[in-house]
Amino acid sequence: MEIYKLQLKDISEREYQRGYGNMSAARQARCDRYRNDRDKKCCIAADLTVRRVISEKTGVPEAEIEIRITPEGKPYVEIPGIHFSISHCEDRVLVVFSDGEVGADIEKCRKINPGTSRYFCSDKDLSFIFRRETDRFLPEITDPETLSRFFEVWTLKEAYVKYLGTGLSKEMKKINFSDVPKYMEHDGDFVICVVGGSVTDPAGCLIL
Amino acid sequence: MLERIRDIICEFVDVAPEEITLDTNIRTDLGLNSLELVNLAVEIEEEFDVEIPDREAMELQTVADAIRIIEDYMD
Repeated sequence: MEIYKLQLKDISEREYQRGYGNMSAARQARCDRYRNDRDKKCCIAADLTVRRVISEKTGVPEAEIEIRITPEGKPYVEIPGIHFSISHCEDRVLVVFSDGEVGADIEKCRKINPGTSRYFCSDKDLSFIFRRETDRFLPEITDPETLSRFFEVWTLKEAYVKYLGTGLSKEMKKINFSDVPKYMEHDGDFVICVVGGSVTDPAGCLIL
Repeated sequence: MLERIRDIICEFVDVAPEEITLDTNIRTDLGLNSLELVNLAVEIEEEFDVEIPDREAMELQTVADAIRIIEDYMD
């Protein structure tokens, strides 16, 4: 498994222009729809990284690599043994490669409505995040530790859903991770989580 | 109602309110990710005192979708 973490400021305008030029018309159209430049740049930075790394692995020229999207929104290439997952948050872009199915997520620990947790947390998850038996009232999240646990659970579930390639669903509350490799790290205010990867190259194992 | 939804959305994205129309796609135009989408649904629930079913919240696409859901679930 290979994890690439990028910051938008580390990529030159010339590289963005080159990356945009290498994108398919469909990817360019998707990129063009974003209203703000940061989202456009995240889209290009991820595309650039996918092409560069796959080109290095296979020898196929970057511009000839065709990145497709499943109906559920998961990007892929039709090259045996090459799997990847893309995530971005604010000015950070995460691209993870593996020789097996993989899902990745990056989120910045930031102010969040605690009610959001009701959409993806089981009672056990809520107890883990809030460190108490849960009731109808969820307190505002003010301390960094609680916020960190909130984002750990979210990124783990989001990465798992991306690993499955099914898109968000109400089943997020019931996700059972026991049979898949998991990897998690904190990078400053950001939480990074990867689920999947190959059996011979497990992504690691952590938490919950 | 559009005005109130615009105000909520503008808490999540750096975009001028007048750029947000009924046809604006919350994900592909405004760039909200999955978590921000769910957070937006919760903010809408609190602002309009409605309960949005999980699946509908996660399948929100356009501003018009949000208004339709609010109208459907308001008492």
